[in-house]
Amino acid sequence: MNLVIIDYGMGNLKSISSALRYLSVDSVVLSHDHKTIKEADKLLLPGVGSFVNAMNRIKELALDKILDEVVLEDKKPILGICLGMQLLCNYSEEDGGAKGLGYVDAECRKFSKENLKEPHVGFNQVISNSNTKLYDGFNKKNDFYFVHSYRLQSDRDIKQSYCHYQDNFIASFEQGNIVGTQFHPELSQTNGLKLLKNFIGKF
Amino acid sequence: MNKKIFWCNNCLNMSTRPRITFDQRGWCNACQWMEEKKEMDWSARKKELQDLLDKHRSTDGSYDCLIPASGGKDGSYLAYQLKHKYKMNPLAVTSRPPLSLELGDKNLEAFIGSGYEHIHVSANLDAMRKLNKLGFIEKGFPYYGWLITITTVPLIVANRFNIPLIFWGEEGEVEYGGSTELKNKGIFNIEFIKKVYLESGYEKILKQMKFNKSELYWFKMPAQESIDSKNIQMAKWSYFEPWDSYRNYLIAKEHCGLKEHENSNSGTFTNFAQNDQALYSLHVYMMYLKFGFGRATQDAGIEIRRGSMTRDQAINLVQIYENVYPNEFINTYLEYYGMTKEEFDAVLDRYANKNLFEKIDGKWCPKFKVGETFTE
Repeated sequence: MNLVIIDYGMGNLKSISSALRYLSVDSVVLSHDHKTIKEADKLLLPGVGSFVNAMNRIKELALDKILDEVVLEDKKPILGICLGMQLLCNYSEEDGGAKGLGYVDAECRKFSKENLKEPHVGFNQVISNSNTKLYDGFNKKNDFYFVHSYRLQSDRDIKQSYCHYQDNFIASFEQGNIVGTQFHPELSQTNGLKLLKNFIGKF
Repeated sequence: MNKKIFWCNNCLNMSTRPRITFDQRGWCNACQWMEEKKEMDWSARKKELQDLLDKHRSTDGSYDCLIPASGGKDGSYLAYQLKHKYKMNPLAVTSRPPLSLELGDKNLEAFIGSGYEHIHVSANLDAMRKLNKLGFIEKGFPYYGWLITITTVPLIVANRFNIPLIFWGEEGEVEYGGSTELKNKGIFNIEFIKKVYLESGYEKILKQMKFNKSELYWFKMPAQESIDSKNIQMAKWSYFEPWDSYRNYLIAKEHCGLKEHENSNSGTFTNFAQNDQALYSLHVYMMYLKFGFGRATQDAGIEIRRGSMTRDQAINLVQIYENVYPNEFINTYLEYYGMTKEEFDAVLDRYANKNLFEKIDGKWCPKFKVGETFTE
């Protein structure tokens, strides 16, 4: 299996590559080359930093075009992690607001409660959606590692699982071949590895 | 003094950090190294490692390398690599920390149980306590006695058992900020340890102690001549292979019984913390009072360099979690040092850097804003 981590210059991708190599994925490639992405079996969209900067980078590299093709037409499985998950959605209010890739009907808003510690960081409990492949073999409640200042919400059914911080927000979704986790599976100990294994094996 | 105080432009390492250096972009040496180690060709260094191991590999059943280990991920990774990948015959050694906590003890037990030969050294308790107290008062370093033993114990054991090679894990000064002396040097000597890890004053402090030789046995370096004549070499693993604590964690969990934290501890930042001894919280609080950065700043820097946090998020976190008086263990400390709260706080007051902090309503508060350059 050939997995491509989309490298558009937003953050260090070492932990996620280490995790995937540990799980014995045949080939793990970091790339923003269109041909490489087109030929991948599965894609991973990581991301740390500002939503607007990330979208600008994606457009500069015309990654939105190739992703439309590979994700929407070819239906290749894609996993967005943290900011990568948010980018798969419609919109984020970060930095005055910007449109995302628009594959999933959800919006991103900042944690806003007074005196709330922000960013939300550390291990927190996720109530998993049992109607998903992502959590196949999991218990109902599992801890994952989060670092984020904006959180995703949606009133659609996108097979979301929830975490609570200020209010319930979307910790992960699974809309067909399009999957996202707000938490970092690559930094979430055994649970994270198990979840990545599900993404590799069951999609 | 009119000295400019500033923060790394990539992480939040402060210019007050001992021995740290910055480049033209304002990046500290830890962040520069993070980039450099991704790009560089490691094959020459891997070859050096192979040669070093081949040179020392034992054929008569004696130990050929020594690994100071606590049962944590890093020492466990080294032990696994040396024993199973490189087919060496390693011995692990631990100096028992003062006021150890349960999780650390369990990890050590699991590590030994996963098949490693090990010596556990408990240095003289009374000398340990007094050296820690003296370190706390004289150097602002609350476990100075233990800090000495994590260096001297491996040296004494290697010297005693004629083990030719000692492997430590990462070179902290290069990985997290500080001296770059060992960036391109895998093997180092006792002088470097005395200068950088124990800072100056090690001999002076030992002399001040009214102990006899036997009580100080584990606190004294073996004679340099003995180390030299046996040609004992001291090496840092992070020179030979890019250091990756996440990889270490994966290996330690699978092969060395490393335990995970079970509590989810919602929203706290430090639940990944170094949890094997109670004095660590005091150490990082004193570091904060002396230099303006503590555990939150260090942990945030690691998060930034491993690609899971932005600098802006880190600034927020540091503002929330830094400057926490170590209330959790305060009674433990007072009892351990045999001090009153007033005496204890007077020591903290003495070490608070008055250019960086002012006391407001009995609490030391920073005069600076994290990330905003100022002149002290």
